[in-house]
Amino acid sequence: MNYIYIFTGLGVVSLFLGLLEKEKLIKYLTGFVLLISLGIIFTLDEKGSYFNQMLLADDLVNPMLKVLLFLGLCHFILFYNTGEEFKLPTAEYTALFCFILVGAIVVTLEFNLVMLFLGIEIISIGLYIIAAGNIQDEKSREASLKYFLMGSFSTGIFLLGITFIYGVTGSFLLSDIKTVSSGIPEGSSPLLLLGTLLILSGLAFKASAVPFHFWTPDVYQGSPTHVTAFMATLVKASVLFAFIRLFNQAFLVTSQTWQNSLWLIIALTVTLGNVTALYQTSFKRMLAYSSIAHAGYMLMGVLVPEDPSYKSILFYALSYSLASLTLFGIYFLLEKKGKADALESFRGLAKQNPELAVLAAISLSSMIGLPPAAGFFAKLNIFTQAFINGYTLLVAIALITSLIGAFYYLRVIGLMFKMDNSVEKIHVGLPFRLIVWVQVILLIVFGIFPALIQ
Amino acid sequence: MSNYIILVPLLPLLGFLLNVFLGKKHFSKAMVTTIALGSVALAFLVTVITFFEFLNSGEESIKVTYYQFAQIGSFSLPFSLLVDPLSLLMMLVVTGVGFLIHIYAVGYMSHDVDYPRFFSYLNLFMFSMLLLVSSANYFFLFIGWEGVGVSSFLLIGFWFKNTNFTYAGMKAMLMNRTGDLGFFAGIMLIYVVFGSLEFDKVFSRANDFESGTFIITMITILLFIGASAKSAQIPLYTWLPDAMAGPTPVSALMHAATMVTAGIYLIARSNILFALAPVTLNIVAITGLCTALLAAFIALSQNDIKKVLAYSTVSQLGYMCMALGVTAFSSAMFHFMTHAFFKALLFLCAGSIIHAMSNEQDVRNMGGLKKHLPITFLTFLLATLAIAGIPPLSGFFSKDEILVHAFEYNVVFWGFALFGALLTSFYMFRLLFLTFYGEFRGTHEQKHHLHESPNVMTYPLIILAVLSAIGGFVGIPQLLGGSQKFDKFLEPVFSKAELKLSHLETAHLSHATEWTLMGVSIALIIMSILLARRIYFIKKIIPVSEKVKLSFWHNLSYHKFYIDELYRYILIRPMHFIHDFLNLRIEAGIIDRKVNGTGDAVMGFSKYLRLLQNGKTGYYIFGMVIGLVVILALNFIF
Repeated sequence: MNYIYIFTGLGVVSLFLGLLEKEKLIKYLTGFVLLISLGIIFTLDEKGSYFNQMLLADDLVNPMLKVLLFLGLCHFILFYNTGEEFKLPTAEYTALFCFILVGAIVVTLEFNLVMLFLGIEIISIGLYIIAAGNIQDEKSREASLKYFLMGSFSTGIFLLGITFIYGVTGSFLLSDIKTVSSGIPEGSSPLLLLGTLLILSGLAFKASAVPFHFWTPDVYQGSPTHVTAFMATLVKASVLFAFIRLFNQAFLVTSQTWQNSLWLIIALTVTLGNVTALYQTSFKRMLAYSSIAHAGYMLMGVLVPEDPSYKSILFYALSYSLASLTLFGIYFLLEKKGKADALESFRGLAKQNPELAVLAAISLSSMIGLPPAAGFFAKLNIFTQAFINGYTLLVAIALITSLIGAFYYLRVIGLMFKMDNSVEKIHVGLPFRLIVWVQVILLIVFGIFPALIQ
Repeated sequence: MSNYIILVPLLPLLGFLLNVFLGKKHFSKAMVTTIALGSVALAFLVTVITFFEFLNSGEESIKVTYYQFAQIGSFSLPFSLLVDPLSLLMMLVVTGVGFLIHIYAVGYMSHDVDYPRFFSYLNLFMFSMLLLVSSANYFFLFIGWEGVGVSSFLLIGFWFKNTNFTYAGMKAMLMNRTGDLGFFAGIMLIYVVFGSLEFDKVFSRANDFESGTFIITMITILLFIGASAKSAQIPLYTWLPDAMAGPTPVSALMHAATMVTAGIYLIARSNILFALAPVTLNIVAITGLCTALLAAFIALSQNDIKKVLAYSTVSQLGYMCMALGVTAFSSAMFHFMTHAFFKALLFLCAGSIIHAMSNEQDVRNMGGLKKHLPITFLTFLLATLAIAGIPPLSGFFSKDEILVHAFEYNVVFWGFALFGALLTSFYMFRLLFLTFYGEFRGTHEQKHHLHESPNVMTYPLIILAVLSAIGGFVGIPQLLGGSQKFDKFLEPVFSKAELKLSHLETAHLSHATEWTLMGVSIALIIMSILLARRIYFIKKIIPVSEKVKLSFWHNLSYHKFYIDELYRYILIRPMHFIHDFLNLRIEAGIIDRKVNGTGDAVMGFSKYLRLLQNGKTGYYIFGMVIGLVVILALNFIF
């Protein structure tokens, strides 16, 4: 809760500091505040409900807040210099960064449909703007506009769903929805079902699940790399956290009605994401499809109606985000060297930059799900729980598609270690190096000590 | 202190990580040495402290669970280490002897350009080996098992510019993989049968099984396949002599003292399972005996100093294996310990000789080194006496124990085992006489260059020599007024298995019989030494070069029974044939087509799916609406 105040305040302060042109101060201040908040959340658990139960912090969402703040810190340090690179004023960028972080915290803590809607809008509007961060680039503007148009459309669907739910239950509170809808006999309220499905579709858009994924490849490719990294990791994680909370808290009693639809969405998502990624030649586009596929795997956790699903989604979101941030970071370095957005840009990276190549290779192995990287246990947990709950066919589809997925990740690893080409030596700054190492070491640590994530 | 046992494998791991990542570019040579040796020394220290605490605590075994590694449904896999007499013994020997060999390697490898790489690999080996012996379940034992396999591969091929050395590494890897497959299948079967991989659970549940149950026999045979590859038993032993391609400290540490005994450890650890499978025990005993004899026979006529020692190692491992087979578990471990001392010493002496002779390994070009290398000579002599089994050196006690148990088991076994012991003393003294006595037969340059090794190499020799001499006193048999401390120490580990076997127990031998056995064996061993002396010292016979025609037996021994050639004909040739058939007909004709077909189909699918993404926003929104309509239709209409 306090973090909402802290980061809103920080965003406002950085806007004012921008007027005074204290760009360096803004960066240091933001980094410092992120670090301090991270320190606080690891020592003091966030607990209690706020604004008449509109937000609720409990033991289940606490680790999620930790993950969000940690990813925020990593992202901020990895890309702290990007404002200048893309002619996006530091003050505005930082402020939007903070506001999006606030949105992410709100959707994670949501206990009320209105709050969920508000949080998603806070995130989306911020993203619409920074997606156009590279204003000189036509693609970046195009990405922003497309995202805005399609986002508005999905917002409409989402809002309509909320309306129906309110109409049936008379409340926005998740606990009330649960109580009321458990009194309704199954199948007797088409409005409740309609509302649930519309909300499901609206959230599926944000999580970029098929068939609401169309925006993802274009927007991911067109946006500046650090914005793409932000969407693919922190934002995606927060949407998934909202997903699990909403469906676990409010709609569990009507599970039979929406689970089949979610089943179908997941099956389509993992298949289309992985299969289409095979044919991509653009690295960012490939990662966009990969992020679609990973969203599908994470959604499998929503199907499982128990507390462990929080943990497994959390684990997956964390391991995926760590690997993803590392890859985007390394790609960003290549981009700065003037390399084109193509897989071929990675050819021969290992020759003069063995450190980067090894870090990228470990992250890619984690994405595939190879032990001892964390991705292995992430997939294992999700798949095991789905399997125990009887989703055998879905697990089979997920396994086959993740096998297909291994191909395009391995191709990048192969390209990096091809010695017939050489990428010139890339200078890696100390903060960047520190963060990617921390991320990769965490990937391995979580792969060896999976029990660390409770 | 038992809680800190994790430090024992962890410290070398830390040393490995530091040296492998930073060693070459950022650390000085002294720093690399400090890290590599320091981590092993600290591990040794922790082991010693834990050992004494354990002795005082009076516990039988302490299991320390650190964390839950994986929890998949009902399958739980904790990371836990075991402190018990057997694991402590292994850890003491591995860290102790390992540390001495590390010190020696500082001198031996001092001129190598890849000094940091060498020490990081050595530390990796120490980590894996210590994890192997300290793990409290089969899973982490297997991780360590694979880890020692990898480090062995890396170190055999350490000088990878020599293609033959790389091939030797590959041979070791392939043979070990064959065994690993068996071992892994065994582990899976253990889980299926006992529902756990934890030693304590498996062994207590095994207690309820009848002796001779089929499934237990299967498990033990699979485990033995793994053990026989790692511990170089027939038919998977040929990798070990080739493994001598690695630097000599590696041969001493891994391919003599510690790594190759992992198989022995595995069987000793699973003693209850083996005790329930009399059939497997017989297989183990016979395999061990055959290996001991075959390898000893081959060692008789080898001319490469390291090859002789390698075959000697195979032969001694055969003895340990046989001891396990005749259910003399603690005798096998006793022999493991004394063997670690004297065989490590022999290899280090060989290294010292090779060092002095400017990388010459052929004994035909040595001779008369006694006065040039006095310390090496004295320590080598001591180790040779120990391995030959001359009282009161360590080898005498451990070998005598094994012989007595073999006699209790079967007189024929005893006869063959004693014959092997005679061969052992013969080839060892042959080696001693050819190397240190007589005239120098090397080149003039080599003679000029002869020198005793530096202190950093000779001190480990002296310490190991002392251990080889007195190491046997912990297991003096009752017959000689000893109290068999060693057996008593290990008793808790093997007590259950011995209970299971009690119905087989033959009457204890009378003192008179034991005296006779001991007297006979000592007398015969001394005779075989005198025979070696007569041939190689008095008659000064030097092994002839390859071209001269040899007698039938001599030829067989010299060419190692043509086992490598035999494998080439019965395994590799047919393998090539099958390979060609599968490759050209099945693979290219059938499988490739299917696989590529699937791949092409997926790729083709991908190509069309990609077209869904045409960049037009209106079309995208249309797609989303269609999707939504389909979802709603599925729910409301069907």
